Amino acid sequence: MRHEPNKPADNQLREKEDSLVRWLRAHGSALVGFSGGVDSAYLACVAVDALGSANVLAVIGKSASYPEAQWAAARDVARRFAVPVLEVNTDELADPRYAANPTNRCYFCKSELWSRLAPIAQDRGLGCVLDGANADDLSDYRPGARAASEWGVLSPLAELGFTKAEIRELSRLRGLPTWRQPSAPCLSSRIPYGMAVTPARLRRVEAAEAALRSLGIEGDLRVRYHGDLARVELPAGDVAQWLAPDAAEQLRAAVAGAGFARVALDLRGFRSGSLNVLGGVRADSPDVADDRRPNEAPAA
Amino acid sequence: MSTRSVEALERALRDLGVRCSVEAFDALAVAVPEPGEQRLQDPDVRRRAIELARAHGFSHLAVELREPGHAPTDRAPLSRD
Repeated sequence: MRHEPNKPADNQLREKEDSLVRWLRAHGSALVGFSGGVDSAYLACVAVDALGSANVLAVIGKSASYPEAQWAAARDVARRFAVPVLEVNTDELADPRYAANPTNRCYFCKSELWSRLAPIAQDRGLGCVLDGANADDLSDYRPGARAASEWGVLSPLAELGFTKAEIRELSRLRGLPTWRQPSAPCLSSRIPYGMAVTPARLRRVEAAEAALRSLGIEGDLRVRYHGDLARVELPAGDVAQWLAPDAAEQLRAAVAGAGFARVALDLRGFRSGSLNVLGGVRADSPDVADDRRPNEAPAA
Repeated sequence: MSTRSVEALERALRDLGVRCSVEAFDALAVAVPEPGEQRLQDPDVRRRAIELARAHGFSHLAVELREPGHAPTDRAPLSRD
């Protein structure tokens, strides 16, 4: 269901969306790297409205670092909003440069993704390849963005100045379920830089986070991988309630059930880019930003 | 993180009334509470504990959630994997 804007601020947003529609129509057709996150879901839906479903293809890159829940969200949006979707398997973990988990890990992931998607666009005669990067992302140096640039991927939301908050609001107005979806960076962001990314580690993290969601925890949460120990980050306002003995045991058991011998609760709660400082890299370094951007997941 | 920092943080937390030992993993400090220790439920104590961790060079402070009935030393060593 689409909700019509009815306030002056909404009118400004609608004008911005109109500029996006014009931009898309000028390109004729598009392949959208589609993760099911806030940005790419919005972009894909506007593209379908602007260009018609025959001229849009949203492509999901599936890999071990792409959360299953995110895949389900992407499929749900595609189904409900008539977005033509294609899934391709990507395998960034097969690249030892990625698996070694350097601070520019995202570059290798995105290189793998776009190397699979760009030929699809060419084969199908689609006019451009798009990602969901937004204007907020431009303030950080992002290794993944360099890969996109090398493959000629365009970022209309960033180019036209859409902020994350605006994308959320426009998504809400469109009735997109993603409008309040927490950021969902790729699972590799839970593993400290320098510690190898492996399918087994990613599965443990994913299972632990799914178990926490099953306890009813909403909002931003992360299970940070420290070997046998899982460090749980919850929304800061939730930390106190999960320290109470009964709740703490529920939380511990949920995460332990995913295969962690020890479970610790971070006392400050969720922090974007939290592992960056633990990997010997300052969180405010221009070299690291992957946990602050959902588009750094395998599919943009 | 140096053994000295770990021991100093452990002493500081005990001075705050939090009965625990501390383990370090890079800049992460893990407070391992003694059985029945619940002072970290107090928001003021929690805030002060985080400040102490930072003052001793740690970027993160987490509290281990122990299985009920655990023995004080019943834990695997903290390892990278």
